[in-house]
Amino acid sequence: MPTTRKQRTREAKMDMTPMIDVTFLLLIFFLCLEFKSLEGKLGSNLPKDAGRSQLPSEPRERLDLRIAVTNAGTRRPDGLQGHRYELDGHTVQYALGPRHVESLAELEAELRRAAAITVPDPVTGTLQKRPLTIHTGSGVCYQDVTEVLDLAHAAEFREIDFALGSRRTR
Amino acid sequence: MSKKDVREEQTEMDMTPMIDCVFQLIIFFFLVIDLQNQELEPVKLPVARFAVPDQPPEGQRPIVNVLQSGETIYKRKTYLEADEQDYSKLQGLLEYFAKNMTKKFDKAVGKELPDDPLLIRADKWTEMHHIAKIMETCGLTNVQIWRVELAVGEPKAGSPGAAKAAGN
Repeated sequence: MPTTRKQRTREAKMDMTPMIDVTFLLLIFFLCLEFKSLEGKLGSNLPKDAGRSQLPSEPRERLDLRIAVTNAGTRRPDGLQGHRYELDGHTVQYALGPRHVESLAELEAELRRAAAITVPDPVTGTLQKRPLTIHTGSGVCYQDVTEVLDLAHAAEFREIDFALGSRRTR
Repeated sequence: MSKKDVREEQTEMDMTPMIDCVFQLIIFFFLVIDLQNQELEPVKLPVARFAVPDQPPEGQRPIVNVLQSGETIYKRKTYLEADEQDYSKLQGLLEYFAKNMTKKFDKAVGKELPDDPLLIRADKWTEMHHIAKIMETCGLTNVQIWRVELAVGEPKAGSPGAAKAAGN
């Protein structure tokens, strides 16, 4: 083959290394973003017995936790976002069954004490912790509830649900 | 041209495919991130010590945001205005969620119930009665979502919740 023809037909090979490098770096970066935990969560249940059911149900011993506002607090505009506010001096009190509690520390101790008591399950007969039902009064905020829910999780209550005032059924 | 000149001739790399590829990837991931963030409204979440860090769920887990005013938002669309008394739009949304959730037979109730949770994200100073309205609507016959998760701030490193999540 003549040398001149060989020169014309030869093609340059593209170096793929930078492309692969960049692609893998991007993929690793976005995969890390994907698996990043954004927030925390606290699980709870809602009453399942809404609507009609023909099945008989056994009464269960429950533990009631009530949250009531003692001072609604004063609204202070959030400096960063004008339409939002912070509540200054907002205070609540708690009642676990018949016992009234003023602080979260006391409530934590009470919840741990209550969690140690087990009762027989009406269906299986096995000893279990009582289900905890949270009742919220007027003016109670989301934070008040999550604080209580947090302590209930710490005390290892397994069944935590909310009492809803005006349950509607169709 | 001599043989020596041919050997020394250098080929230039064509950067076009690399740039194409990189830009397409960047656009793709920007869109994915934007779609993810559509579910999250800017709310100031309360901090919890024993919360479990939230991992992307295996099944379906819709996220409903409640602002301080009580405005209820799903994917940047308002389903309940502040102080609105008509819950039909919210009910329709929750019915749609329930319809698409995996179902599990519940012995106590005697029928199939949605088994996926609903995540509620609210500002820490949102009054609870706004959230209670969502919870009440969850109890309607056509909805019956009973698993609810309340979003809280990410547990700090070293907190009991973070340790629990790490398996310690």
